[in-house]
Amino acid sequence: MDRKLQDMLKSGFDAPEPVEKRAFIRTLPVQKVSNFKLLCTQARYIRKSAWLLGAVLFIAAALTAMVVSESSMWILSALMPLLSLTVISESGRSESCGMAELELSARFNLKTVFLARLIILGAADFIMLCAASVFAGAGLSASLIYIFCPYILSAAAGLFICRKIRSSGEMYLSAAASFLTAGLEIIFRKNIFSFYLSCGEGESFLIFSLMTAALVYEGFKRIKETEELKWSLE
Amino acid sequence: MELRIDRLTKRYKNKIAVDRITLNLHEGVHGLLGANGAGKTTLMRMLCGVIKPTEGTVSFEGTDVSEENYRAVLGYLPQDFGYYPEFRGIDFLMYMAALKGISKESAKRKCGELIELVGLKDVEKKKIKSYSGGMKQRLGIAQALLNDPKLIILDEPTAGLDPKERVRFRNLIKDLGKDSIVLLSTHIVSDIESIADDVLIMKEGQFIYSGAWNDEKGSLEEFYMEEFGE
Repeated sequence: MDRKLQDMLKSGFDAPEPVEKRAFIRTLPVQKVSNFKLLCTQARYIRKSAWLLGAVLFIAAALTAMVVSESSMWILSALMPLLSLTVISESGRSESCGMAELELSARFNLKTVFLARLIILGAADFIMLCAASVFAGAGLSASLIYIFCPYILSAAAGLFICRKIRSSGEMYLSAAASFLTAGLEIIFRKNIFSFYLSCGEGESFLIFSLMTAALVYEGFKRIKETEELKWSLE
Repeated sequence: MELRIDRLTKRYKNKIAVDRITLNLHEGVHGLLGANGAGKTTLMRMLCGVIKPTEGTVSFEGTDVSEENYRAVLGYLPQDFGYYPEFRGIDFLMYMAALKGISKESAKRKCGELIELVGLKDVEKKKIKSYSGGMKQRLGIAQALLNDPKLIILDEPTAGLDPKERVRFRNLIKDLGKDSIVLLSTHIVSDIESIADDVLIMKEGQFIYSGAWNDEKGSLEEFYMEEFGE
């Protein structure tokens, strides 16, 4: 049909009110949503403060590497536990804000939301850890001990605290655990250095694997808890 | 359309909250009455997949409560719900629409329609923390309807609403019952009397009455008072 005629018809006649609109919409099949789209959607709802913390730590790590080249490894090592706060703070947010019940009943439920946030922030943190390793100019073994292990230890402790302590104070305790890990890194840096010198690549990898296993275990337990609303019932 | 509940049970350490409930629900408004602790909320939570039953099954048109397709046709308003502190009214609805798998374009349109319907258009861009209890409740009702649900479960939907709003929402719920299964719980017997096709009365985890209520049976309020002494 001629475009001009179409426009004339549109302006000349009002479209009729839809009939049985709801019934028609319900006949449509459930829209498929790809995992990638789901991740993109959830990324929009991660708090700006979490991204900001990551960005601040990234800049701090880069500046440390540029300005204080000699002891940069220690400073970077002490910064990494703080990075885990991005994951911890987002992981317990649904419950602490009272959104868990609504999210559990939605098509993409709490478990999906939790996993999506974990994947997004976990990936962002992994990139940050790799970047910190590059800034420090560390080899694989040193990166695992000084950069990755403090982060993993702090993240596992934070998830453990969130799982065990069910109150509004859980986030503060998790933050305290991160700062404690960072503090211990600085206080015992000579002991950690001696330990690093005494262990080979295989031992470094073993320690890293054990800590990763602890983190995976805590993550798994946390995911299991998101399958049903337990907190208000026990 | 059929919601099938088969020997549904929820046991806690030393208490049976819901005790072997079997029921089939069809289109219409089904009013759930019962005193505090009768098991209403536990039953509703199990019907929404929010808590897992100790025993028994729930299915809608053959789809089990644990499946994504079940949740895709469900609209749920919990008794209490929170929100992320940075959310404005419209953000909350858009977020819930995203969780319900509605595309961004459809979500914008649907959120606009619903925010108008619940009378929050003027305050849609205000933070939820500035909302009154009634406004928050209306927002909750709007999110429950985002996906044009076939199964609507409303836990105390008229709580916190002023009398005028209560009547308006009662009519809305009655209208929804024409082509959906609506299960609503309330303490307000008059709400049930005016809109429910069926009445389900719960006591100690079991139904003591289920079916239509008519004038021949007397006053529902009196029956309720006799049973629960409230």
